[in-house]
Amino acid sequence: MLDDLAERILLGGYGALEFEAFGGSDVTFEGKLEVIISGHIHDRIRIYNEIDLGVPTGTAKAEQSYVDLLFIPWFNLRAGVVLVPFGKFNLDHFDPRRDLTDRPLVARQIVPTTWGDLGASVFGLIRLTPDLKVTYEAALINGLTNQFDPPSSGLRSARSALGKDNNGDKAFVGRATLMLADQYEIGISGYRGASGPANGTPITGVGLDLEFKPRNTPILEDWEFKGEYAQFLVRNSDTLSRLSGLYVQVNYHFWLPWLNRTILGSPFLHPTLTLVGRYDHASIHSAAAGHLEQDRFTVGLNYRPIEDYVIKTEYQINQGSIERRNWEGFLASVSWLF
Amino acid sequence: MSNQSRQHRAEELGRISRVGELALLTFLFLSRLPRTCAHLADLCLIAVLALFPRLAAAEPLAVIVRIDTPVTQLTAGHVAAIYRGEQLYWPDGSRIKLVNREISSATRRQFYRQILQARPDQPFYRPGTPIPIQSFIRRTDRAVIQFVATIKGAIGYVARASLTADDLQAVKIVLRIPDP
Repeated sequence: MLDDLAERILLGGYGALEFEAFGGSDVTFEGKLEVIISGHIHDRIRIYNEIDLGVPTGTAKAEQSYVDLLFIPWFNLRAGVVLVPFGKFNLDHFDPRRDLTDRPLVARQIVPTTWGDLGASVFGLIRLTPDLKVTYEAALINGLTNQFDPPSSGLRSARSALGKDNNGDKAFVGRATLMLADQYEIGISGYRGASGPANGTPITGVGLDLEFKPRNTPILEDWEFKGEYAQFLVRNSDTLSRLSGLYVQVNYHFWLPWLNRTILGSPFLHPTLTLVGRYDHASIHSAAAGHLEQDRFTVGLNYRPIEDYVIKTEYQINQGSIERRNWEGFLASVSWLF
Repeated sequence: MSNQSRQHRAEELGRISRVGELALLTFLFLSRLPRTCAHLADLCLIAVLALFPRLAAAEPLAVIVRIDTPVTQLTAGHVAAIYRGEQLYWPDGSRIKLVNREISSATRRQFYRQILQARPDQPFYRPGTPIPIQSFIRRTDRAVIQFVATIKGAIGYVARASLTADDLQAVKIVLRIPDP
Protein backbone atom coordinates (compact mmCIF):
# COMPACT_ATOMS: atom_id res chain seq x y z
CA MET A 1 0.00 0.00 0.00
CA LEU A 2 2.88 2.32 0.81
CA ASP A 3 4.44 1.74 -2.63
CA ASP A 4 1.10 2.48 -4.28
CA LEU A 5 0.70 5.65 -2.22
CA ALA A 6 4.24 6.78 -3.05
CA GLU A 7 3.49 6.38 -6.73
CA ARG A 8 0.28 8.39 -6.53
CA ILE A 9 1.02 11.13 -3.97
CA LEU A 10 3.84 13.68 -4.05
CA LEU A 11 5.10 15.65 -1.08
CA GLY A 12 6.95 18.87 -1.65
CA GLY A 13 7.04 22.47 -0.69
CA TYR A 14 8.71 25.78 -1.00
CA GLY A 15 10.19 28.36 1.29
CA ALA A 16 11.59 31.84 1.35
CA LEU A 17 13.64 33.98 3.68
CA GLU A 18 13.30 37.71 3.03
CA PHE A 19 15.34 40.64 4.25
CA GLU A 20 14.40 44.28 3.90
CA ALA A 21 16.07 47.49 4.95
CA PHE A 22 14.19 50.72 4.28
CA GLY A 23 14.91 54.14 5.64
CA GLY A 24 12.08 54.88 8.01
CA SER A 25 11.39 51.30 9.11
CA ASP A 26 13.02 48.48 11.01
CA VAL A 27 15.44 46.15 9.30
CA THR A 28 13.66 42.82 9.23
CA PHE A 29 13.85 39.18 8.32
CA GLU A 30 10.62 37.50 7.25
CA GLY A 31 9.98 34.00 6.11
CA LYS A 32 7.54 31.69 4.46
CA LEU A 33 7.27 27.93 4.46
CA GLU A 34 4.64 26.03 2.51
CA VAL A 35 3.97 22.33 2.18
CA ILE A 36 2.55 20.92 -1.03
CA ILE A 37 0.77 17.59 -1.16
CA SER A 38 -0.45 16.60 -4.59
CA GLY A 39 -1.15 13.61 -6.73
CA HIS A 40 -3.75 11.31 -8.19
CA ILE A 41 -6.16 9.22 -6.15
CA HIS A 42 -7.45 7.87 -9.45
CA ASP A 43 -6.28 8.37 -13.04
CA ARG A 44 -9.12 10.89 -13.45
CA ILE A 45 -9.10 12.44 -9.96
CA ARG A 46 -6.22 14.52 -8.69
CA ILE A 47 -5.70 16.51 -5.53
CA TYR A 48 -3.64 19.57 -4.73
CA ASN A 49 -2.97 21.05 -1.30
CA GLU A 50 -0.78 24.05 -0.54
CA ILE A 51 -0.52 24.68 3.18
CA ASP A 52 1.08 27.84 4.52
CA LEU A 53 2.76 26.76 7.77
CA GLY A 54 2.23 30.15 9.34
CA VAL A 55 5.73 31.60 9.37
CA PRO A 56 5.87 34.26 10.82
CA THR A 57 2.18 34.77 11.66
CA GLY A 58 1.91 31.60 13.74
CA THR A 59 -1.35 30.58 12.04
CA ALA A 60 -1.26 27.83 9.45
CA LYS A 61 -3.79 28.03 6.65
CA ALA A 62 -4.68 26.37 3.38
CA GLU A 63 -3.85 28.58 0.41
CA GLN A 64 -5.18 25.96 -1.99
CA SER A 65 -6.84 22.64 -1.27
CA TYR A 66 -8.92 21.20 -4.03
CA VAL A 67 -9.83 18.09 -5.97
CA ASP A 68 -10.05 17.93 -9.76
CA LEU A 69 -12.32 15.60 -11.72
CA LEU A 70 -10.77 15.36 -15.18
CA PHE A 71 -13.25 14.70 -17.99
CA ILE A 72 -11.97 15.98 -21.32
CA PRO A 73 -9.32 18.57 -22.22
CA TRP A 74 -11.83 21.40 -22.58
CA PHE A 75 -14.06 20.62 -19.58
CA ASN A 76 -13.03 19.61 -16.06
CA LEU A 77 -14.37 20.25 -12.57
CA ARG A 78 -12.55 21.63 -9.53
CA ALA A 79 -13.86 22.06 -5.98
CA GLY A 80 -12.41 23.11 -2.63
CA VAL A 81 -10.20 26.04 -1.69
CA VAL A 82 -9.41 27.23 -5.19
CA LEU A 83 -6.88 29.80 -6.30
CA VAL A 84 -9.12 32.58 -7.58
CA PRO A 85 -8.63 32.76 -11.37
CA PHE A 86 -8.05 36.49 -11.60
CA GLY A 87 -4.82 37.77 -13.11
CA LYS A 88 -1.65 35.92 -13.98
CA PHE A 89 0.28 36.85 -10.84
CA ASN A 90 -2.19 35.22 -8.45
CA LEU A 91 -1.90 31.95 -10.37
CA ASP A 92 1.90 32.14 -10.46
CA HIS A 93 2.61 33.72 -7.06
CA PHE A 94 5.20 31.20 -5.86
CA ASP A 95 8.33 32.80 -4.42
CA PRO A 96 10.91 30.52 -6.12
CA ARG A 97 9.29 31.14 -9.51
CA ARG A 98 9.41 34.95 -9.18
CA ASP A 99 12.42 37.08 -10.03
CA LEU A 100 11.92 39.78 -7.39
CA THR A 101 11.32 39.49 -3.66
CA ASP A 102 8.48 42.00 -3.43
CA ARG A 103 5.14 41.44 -5.11
CA PRO A 104 3.87 44.18 -7.42
CA LEU A 105 1.53 46.74 -5.86
CA VAL A 106 -1.27 45.60 -8.15
CA ALA A 107 -0.82 42.07 -6.76
CA ARG A 108 -1.04 43.27 -3.14
CA GLN A 109 -3.48 46.15 -2.81
CA ILE A 110 -5.64 45.66 -5.91
CA VAL A 111 -5.67 41.91 -6.62
CA PRO A 112 -5.18 40.63 -3.07
CA THR A 113 -2.74 37.79 -3.70
CA THR A 114 -2.43 35.15 -2.59
CA TRP A 115 -6.16 35.01 -3.19
CA GLY A 116 -7.86 31.70 -2.52
CA ASP A 117 -11.48 31.05 -1.62
CA LEU A 118 -13.97 28.27 -1.07
CA GLY A 119 -15.76 27.46 -4.26
CA ALA A 120 -16.00 25.39 -7.40
CA SER A 121 -14.81 25.98 -10.92
CA VAL A 122 -14.74 24.56 -14.40
CA PHE A 123 -11.59 24.77 -16.46
CA GLY A 124 -10.13 23.53 -19.68
CA LEU A 125 -7.94 23.94 -22.70
CA ILE A 126 -9.03 24.27 -26.33
CA ARG A 127 -6.40 23.76 -28.99
CA LEU A 128 -7.13 25.93 -32.03
CA THR A 129 -3.97 24.98 -33.96
CA PRO A 130 -0.88 22.99 -32.95
CA ASP A 131 0.68 26.22 -31.64
CA LEU A 132 -2.36 28.26 -30.57
CA LYS A 133 -4.55 27.41 -27.63
CA VAL A 134 -7.18 28.97 -25.43
CA THR A 135 -7.44 28.16 -21.72
CA TYR A 136 -10.14 29.18 -19.31
CA GLU A 137 -11.24 28.82 -15.72
CA ALA A 138 -14.58 30.09 -14.39
CA ALA A 139 -15.34 29.87 -10.67
CA LEU A 140 -18.15 30.46 -8.20
CA ILE A 141 -16.72 31.46 -4.82
CA ASN A 142 -17.85 33.01 -1.55
CA GLY A 143 -16.21 36.24 -2.69
CA LEU A 144 -14.70 39.37 -1.17
CA THR A 145 -16.18 40.86 1.99
CA ASN A 146 -16.73 44.54 2.82
CA GLN A 147 -13.75 44.76 5.20
CA PHE A 148 -11.82 47.59 3.57
CA ASP A 149 -9.97 48.90 6.59
CA PRO A 150 -7.53 50.58 6.29
CA PRO A 151 -8.21 52.05 2.82
CA SER A 152 -4.51 51.91 1.95
CA SER A 153 -4.61 48.12 2.20
CA GLY A 154 -6.99 48.08 -0.76
CA LEU A 155 -8.81 44.76 -1.09
CA ARG A 156 -6.33 42.75 1.03
CA SER A 157 -8.48 42.98 4.12
CA ALA A 158 -11.57 42.01 2.13
CA ARG A 159 -10.45 38.42 1.48
CA SER A 160 -12.86 35.93 2.99
CA ALA A 161 -10.22 34.11 5.11
CA LEU A 162 -12.07 30.90 4.17
CA GLY A 163 -14.77 31.70 6.71
CA LYS A 164 -18.52 31.51 6.38
CA ASP A 165 -19.95 33.63 3.58
CA ASN A 166 -21.03 37.04 4.92
CA ASN A 167 -23.93 37.26 2.45
CA GLY A 168 -26.07 34.94 0.38
CA ASP A 169 -24.50 36.12 -2.84
CA LYS A 170 -21.82 34.08 -4.53
CA ALA A 171 -19.15 35.83 -6.57
CA PHE A 172 -18.38 34.87 -10.14
CA VAL A 173 -14.78 35.14 -11.34
CA GLY A 174 -12.95 33.88 -14.35
CA ARG A 175 -9.91 34.18 -16.55
CA ALA A 176 -9.34 33.23 -20.18
CA THR A 177 -6.03 33.19 -21.99
CA LEU A 178 -4.75 32.96 -25.52
CA MET A 179 -1.35 31.25 -25.75
CA LEU A 180 0.94 31.02 -28.73
CA ALA A 181 3.59 28.30 -28.80
CA ASP A 182 3.53 28.18 -24.99
CA GLN A 183 5.72 31.30 -25.06
CA TYR A 184 3.34 34.23 -25.53
CA GLU A 185 0.30 34.57 -23.29
CA ILE A 186 -2.44 37.17 -23.02
CA GLY A 187 -5.09 36.85 -20.34
CA ILE A 188 -8.29 38.63 -19.46
CA SER A 189 -10.05 38.34 -16.11
CA GLY A 190 -13.37 39.40 -14.61
CA TYR A 191 -14.95 39.44 -11.14
CA ARG A 192 -18.44 40.24 -9.91
CA GLY A 193 -19.92 39.74 -6.46
CA ALA A 194 -21.60 41.42 -3.51
CA SER A 195 -19.26 42.24 -0.64
CA GLY A 196 -21.67 43.30 2.08
CA PRO A 197 -24.83 41.75 3.51
CA ALA A 198 -28.18 42.00 1.69
CA ASN A 199 -26.51 42.23 -1.71
CA GLY A 200 -25.11 45.68 -0.96
CA THR A 201 -21.73 47.08 -2.02
CA PRO A 202 -21.26 45.04 -5.20
CA ILE A 203 -17.70 44.77 -6.43
CA THR A 204 -16.79 44.37 -10.09
CA GLY A 205 -13.29 43.93 -11.42
CA VAL A 206 -11.48 43.50 -14.72
CA GLY A 207 -7.92 42.53 -15.41
CA LEU A 208 -5.53 42.19 -18.32
CA ASP A 209 -2.22 40.38 -18.18
CA LEU A 210 0.47 39.37 -20.60
CA GLU A 211 3.66 37.41 -20.50
CA PHE A 212 6.17 36.96 -23.31
CA LYS A 213 8.90 34.34 -22.79
CA PRO A 214 10.43 33.52 -26.16
CA ARG A 215 12.45 30.33 -26.39
CA ASN A 216 14.80 28.95 -29.03
CA THR A 217 15.05 32.37 -30.71
CA PRO A 218 18.52 33.96 -30.80
CA ILE A 219 18.82 37.11 -28.63
CA LEU A 220 15.09 37.24 -27.82
CA GLU A 221 15.27 34.03 -25.79
CA ASP A 222 17.35 35.91 -23.16
CA TRP A 223 14.50 38.34 -22.52
CA GLU A 224 11.14 38.13 -20.77
CA PHE A 225 8.43 40.74 -20.65
CA LYS A 226 5.40 40.63 -18.37
CA GLY A 227 2.74 42.97 -17.13
CA GLU A 228 -0.64 43.14 -15.52
CA TYR A 229 -3.42 45.70 -15.10
CA ALA A 230 -6.43 45.41 -12.80
CA GLN A 231 -9.29 47.69 -11.83
CA PHE A 232 -12.04 47.18 -9.24
CA LEU A 233 -15.16 49.28 -8.60
CA VAL A 234 -16.85 49.14 -5.20
CA ARG A 235 -20.36 50.59 -5.14
CA ASN A 236 -22.25 51.95 -2.14
CA SER A 237 -19.22 51.89 0.15
CA ASP A 238 -18.12 54.64 2.50
CA THR A 239 -14.56 53.33 2.47
CA LEU A 240 -13.47 52.43 -1.06
CA SER A 241 -14.84 53.30 -4.47
CA ARG A 242 -12.27 52.65 -7.18
CA LEU A 243 -8.98 50.79 -7.18
CA SER A 244 -6.59 50.26 -10.06
CA GLY A 245 -3.01 49.27 -10.60
CA LEU A 246 -0.50 47.94 -13.04
CA TYR A 247 3.03 46.68 -13.33
CA VAL A 248 5.44 46.14 -16.19
CA GLN A 249 8.56 44.06 -15.79
CA VAL A 250 11.50 43.17 -18.01
CA ASN A 251 13.91 40.32 -17.27
CA TYR A 252 17.25 39.75 -18.96
CA HIS A 253 18.88 36.33 -18.43
CA PHE A 254 22.63 36.02 -18.89
CA TRP A 255 25.71 34.28 -17.65
CA LEU A 256 29.38 35.27 -17.46
CA PRO A 257 31.54 32.40 -18.78
CA TRP A 258 34.38 33.12 -16.35
CA LEU A 259 32.00 32.28 -13.50
CA ASN A 260 32.19 28.65 -14.62
CA ARG A 261 35.64 28.60 -13.03
CA THR A 262 34.13 29.63 -9.71
CA ILE A 263 31.90 27.92 -7.18
CA LEU A 264 28.95 29.89 -8.59
CA GLY A 265 29.11 28.02 -11.87
CA SER A 266 31.28 24.92 -11.78
CA PRO A 267 28.94 22.53 -9.90
CA PHE A 268 25.85 23.45 -11.94
CA LEU A 269 24.61 22.54 -15.40
CA HIS A 270 22.91 25.79 -16.36
CA PRO A 271 23.25 28.56 -13.76
CA THR A 272 21.70 31.91 -14.64
CA LEU A 273 21.92 35.53 -13.62
CA THR A 274 18.87 37.71 -14.26
CA LEU A 275 18.66 41.49 -14.36
CA VAL A 276 15.16 42.70 -13.54
CA GLY A 277 13.50 46.06 -13.93
CA ARG A 278 9.93 46.77 -12.82
CA TYR A 279 7.59 49.74 -12.61
CA ASP A 280 4.51 49.60 -10.38
CA HIS A 281 1.59 51.96 -10.03
CA ALA A 282 -1.47 51.75 -7.78
CA SER A 283 -4.37 54.14 -7.25
CA ILE A 284 -7.07 53.92 -4.55
CA HIS A 285 -10.05 56.26 -4.31
CA SER A 286 -11.53 56.37 -0.86
CA ALA A 287 -14.25 58.59 0.63
CA ALA A 288 -12.49 58.30 4.00
CA ALA A 289 -8.86 58.79 2.94
CA GLY A 290 -9.19 60.66 -0.36
CA HIS A 291 -7.17 59.73 -3.42
CA LEU A 292 -4.12 57.58 -2.64
CA GLU A 293 -1.44 56.82 -5.20
CA GLN A 294 1.86 55.00 -5.24
CA ASP A 295 4.63 54.62 -7.80
CA ARG A 296 7.47 52.20 -7.35
CA PHE A 297 10.66 51.54 -9.31
CA THR A 298 12.60 48.36 -8.68
CA VAL A 299 15.92 47.16 -10.08
CA GLY A 300 17.16 43.71 -9.17
CA LEU A 301 19.69 40.98 -9.85
CA ASN A 302 19.13 37.34 -9.04
CA TYR A 303 21.23 34.21 -9.21
CA ARG A 304 19.76 30.78 -9.99
CA PRO A 305 22.23 27.91 -9.81
CA ILE A 306 19.29 25.63 -10.61
CA GLU A 307 15.70 26.46 -11.55
CA ASP A 308 14.35 25.70 -8.07
CA TYR A 309 16.73 27.81 -5.99
CA VAL A 310 17.22 31.55 -6.27
CA ILE A 311 19.02 34.35 -4.44
CA LYS A 312 17.42 37.72 -5.18
CA THR A 313 18.65 41.24 -4.49
CA GLU A 314 16.85 44.45 -5.41
CA TYR A 315 16.73 48.16 -4.79
CA GLN A 316 13.41 49.94 -4.59
CA ILE A 317 12.40 53.58 -4.90
CA ASN A 318 8.90 54.57 -3.73
CA GLN A 319 6.83 57.69 -4.25
CA GLY A 320 3.33 57.96 -2.87
CA SER A 321 0.97 57.39 0.01
CA ILE A 322 -0.14 53.75 -0.12
CA GLU A 323 2.75 51.49 0.89
CA ARG A 324 6.29 52.44 1.93
CA ARG A 325 5.40 56.04 1.11
CA ASN A 326 8.56 57.75 -0.18
CA TRP A 327 11.06 55.29 1.17
CA GLU A 328 14.03 53.89 -0.66
CA GLY A 329 15.58 50.65 0.38
CA PHE A 330 17.14 47.29 -0.22
CA LEU A 331 15.54 43.85 -0.27
CA ALA A 332 17.06 40.42 -0.58
CA SER A 333 15.74 36.89 -0.32
CA VAL A 334 16.57 33.23 -0.72
CA SER A 335 13.85 31.04 -2.10
CA TRP A 336 13.68 27.33 -2.87
CA LEU A 337 11.31 24.68 -4.14
CA PHE A 338 11.44 20.93 -3.59
CA MET B 1 34.92 10.37 -15.41
CA SER B 2 33.17 7.58 -13.49
CA ASN B 3 32.80 4.05 -14.85
CA GLN B 4 29.08 4.55 -15.29
CA SER B 5 29.49 7.73 -17.32
CA ARG B 6 32.25 6.13 -19.41
CA GLN B 7 29.97 3.21 -20.17
CA HIS B 8 27.11 5.51 -21.01
CA ARG B 9 29.15 7.75 -23.28
CA ALA B 10 30.68 4.79 -25.06
CA GLU B 11 27.24 3.25 -25.63
CA GLU B 12 26.08 6.45 -27.26
CA LEU B 13 29.24 6.59 -29.35
CA GLY B 14 29.02 2.96 -30.39
CA ARG B 15 25.58 3.44 -31.77
CA ILE B 16 26.62 6.19 -34.08
CA SER B 17 29.08 4.69 -36.55
CA ARG B 18 31.46 1.87 -37.31
CA VAL B 19 34.38 4.00 -36.10
CA GLY B 20 32.41 4.56 -32.94
CA GLU B 21 31.94 0.80 -32.62
CA LEU B 22 35.71 0.34 -32.93
CA ALA B 23 36.25 2.94 -30.23
CA LEU B 24 33.70 1.12 -28.07
CA LEU B 25 35.48 -2.20 -28.45
CA THR B 26 38.80 -0.56 -27.61
CA PHE B 27 37.27 1.15 -24.59
CA LEU B 28 35.67 -2.07 -23.33
CA PHE B 29 38.99 -3.89 -23.64
CA LEU B 30 41.02 -1.18 -21.91
CA SER B 31 38.49 -0.48 -19.16
CA ARG B 32 38.73 -4.01 -17.90
CA LEU B 33 42.49 -3.75 -17.42
CA PRO B 34 44.13 -2.24 -14.31
CA ARG B 35 43.64 1.41 -13.41
CA THR B 36 46.32 2.84 -15.69
CA CYS B 37 44.68 1.30 -18.72
CA ALA B 38 41.26 2.59 -17.60
CA HIS B 39 42.73 6.09 -17.93
CA LEU B 40 43.81 5.11 -21.43
CA ALA B 41 40.17 4.25 -22.10
CA ASP B 42 39.20 7.82 -21.23
CA LEU B 43 41.91 9.17 -23.53
CA CYS B 44 40.67 6.88 -26.28
CA LEU B 45 37.15 8.27 -26.06
CA ILE B 46 38.36 11.85 -25.89
CA ALA B 47 40.62 11.36 -28.93
CA VAL B 48 37.84 9.83 -31.03
CA LEU B 49 35.45 12.63 -30.13
CA ALA B 50 38.10 15.25 -30.92
CA LEU B 51 38.99 13.69 -34.29
CA PHE B 52 35.40 12.94 -35.25
CA PRO B 53 33.28 15.74 -33.72
CA ARG B 54 30.31 14.72 -35.83
CA LEU B 55 30.14 11.53 -33.80
CA ALA B 56 29.01 13.66 -30.85
CA ALA B 57 26.45 15.50 -32.95
CA ALA B 58 22.70 14.99 -33.23
CA GLU B 59 21.07 12.01 -34.91
CA PRO B 60 17.56 11.03 -35.97
CA LEU B 61 15.23 10.34 -33.07
CA ALA B 62 12.00 8.38 -32.82
CA VAL B 63 9.09 8.94 -30.49
CA ILE B 64 7.73 5.55 -29.46
CA VAL B 65 4.65 4.21 -27.69
CA ARG B 66 3.59 0.71 -26.70
CA ILE B 67 2.29 -1.34 -29.61
CA ASP B 68 -1.30 -1.38 -28.26
CA THR B 69 -1.54 2.41 -27.75
CA PRO B 70 -4.48 3.73 -29.83
CA VAL B 71 -2.50 6.21 -31.93
CA THR B 72 -0.60 5.63 -35.15
CA GLN B 73 0.92 9.03 -35.87
CA LEU B 74 1.55 12.12 -33.79
CA THR B 75 2.67 15.54 -34.91
CA ALA B 76 5.53 17.38 -33.24
CA GLY B 77 2.95 19.73 -31.77
CA HIS B 78 1.03 16.84 -30.24
CA VAL B 79 4.18 15.39 -28.72
CA ALA B 80 5.12 18.81 -27.36
CA ALA B 81 1.65 19.19 -25.81
CA ILE B 82 2.00 15.77 -24.18
CA TYR B 83 5.40 16.57 -22.69
CA ARG B 84 4.12 19.95 -21.45
CA GLY B 85 1.34 18.16 -19.58
CA GLU B 86 -1.46 19.64 -21.68
CA GLN B 87 -2.71 16.23 -22.85
CA LEU B 88 -3.04 13.69 -20.06
CA TYR B 89 -4.90 10.79 -21.70
CA TRP B 90 -4.83 8.70 -24.86
CA PRO B 91 -8.02 8.47 -26.96
CA ASP B 92 -9.04 5.29 -25.14
CA GLY B 93 -8.90 7.13 -21.79
CA SER B 94 -5.74 5.52 -20.51
CA ARG B 95 -3.31 7.82 -18.75
CA ILE B 96 -0.21 8.97 -20.62
CA LYS B 97 3.02 8.14 -18.81
CA LEU B 98 5.98 10.24 -19.88
CA VAL B 99 9.48 8.83 -20.14
CA ASN B 100 12.41 11.20 -20.24
CA ARG B 101 16.15 10.81 -20.45
CA GLU B 102 18.34 12.37 -17.77
CA ILE B 103 19.06 16.10 -18.09
CA SER B 104 22.70 15.61 -19.18
CA SER B 105 21.74 13.28 -22.05
CA ALA B 106 22.50 14.49 -25.59
CA THR B 107 19.30 12.74 -26.71
CA ARG B 108 17.22 14.75 -24.27
CA ARG B 109 18.98 17.95 -25.29
CA GLN B 110 18.12 17.30 -28.94
CA PHE B 111 14.52 16.30 -28.21
CA TYR B 112 13.91 19.33 -26.02
CA ARG B 113 15.48 21.66 -28.58
CA GLN B 114 13.63 20.30 -31.60
CA ILE B 115 10.23 19.44 -30.14
CA LEU B 116 9.82 21.65 -27.05
CA GLN B 117 12.03 24.58 -28.13
CA ALA B 118 13.54 24.49 -24.67
CA ARG B 119 16.71 23.75 -22.74
CA PRO B 120 16.97 20.19 -21.42
CA ASP B 121 16.50 21.39 -17.84
CA GLN B 122 13.47 23.54 -18.66
CA PRO B 123 10.61 22.49 -16.39
CA PHE B 124 6.98 22.79 -17.46
CA TYR B 125 4.49 23.50 -14.72
CA ARG B 126 0.86 22.68 -14.10
CA PRO B 127 -1.04 26.02 -14.12
CA GLY B 128 -1.59 27.41 -10.65
CA THR B 129 1.03 25.19 -9.06
CA PRO B 130 4.83 25.13 -8.79
CA ILE B 131 4.80 21.42 -9.64
CA PRO B 132 6.75 20.39 -12.73
CA ILE B 133 5.12 17.88 -15.06
CA GLN B 134 6.23 14.46 -13.80
CA SER B 135 8.05 11.94 -15.94
CA PHE B 136 9.91 8.68 -15.47
CA ILE B 137 13.66 9.04 -16.02
CA ARG B 138 15.53 6.27 -17.82
CA ARG B 139 19.26 6.54 -18.51
CA THR B 140 19.73 4.65 -21.75
CA ASP B 141 17.76 4.14 -24.94
CA ARG B 142 17.48 0.44 -24.14
CA ALA B 143 15.91 1.25 -20.76
CA VAL B 144 13.45 3.64 -22.44
CA ILE B 145 12.45 0.99 -24.97
CA GLN B 146 11.96 -1.62 -22.24
CA PHE B 147 9.85 0.77 -20.17
CA VAL B 148 7.65 1.82 -23.07
CA ALA B 149 7.21 -1.83 -24.14
CA THR B 150 6.15 -2.83 -20.67
CA ILE B 151 4.07 0.01 -19.26
CA LYS B 152 0.64 0.71 -20.70
CA GLY B 153 0.27 4.28 -21.86
CA ALA B 154 3.98 5.10 -21.87
CA ILE B 155 5.61 7.39 -24.43
CA GLY B 156 9.32 8.01 -24.84
CA TYR B 157 12.00 9.07 -27.32
CA VAL B 158 15.12 7.24 -28.46
CA ALA B 159 17.73 7.35 -31.17
CA ARG B 160 16.16 5.70 -34.18
CA ALA B 161 19.24 3.55 -34.67
CA SER B 162 18.75 1.93 -31.28
CA LEU B 163 15.47 0.25 -32.30
CA THR B 164 15.78 -3.34 -33.47
CA ALA B 165 13.30 -5.46 -35.40
CA ASP B 166 12.44 -7.27 -32.15
CA ASP B 167 11.74 -3.95 -30.42
CA LEU B 168 9.21 -3.04 -33.12
CA GLN B 169 7.13 -6.05 -32.10
CA ALA B 170 6.52 -4.38 -28.73
CA VAL B 171 6.67 -0.65 -29.52
CA LYS B 172 5.78 1.50 -32.52
CA ILE B 173 7.16 4.76 -33.88
CA VAL B 174 4.60 7.58 -33.88
CA LEU B 175 6.93 10.43 -34.83
CA ARG B 176 10.24 10.51 -36.65
CA ILE B 177 12.46 13.44 -35.72
CA PRO B 178 15.19 14.12 -38.29
CA ASP B 179 18.64 15.20 -37.17
CA PRO B 180 18.79 19.01 -37.22
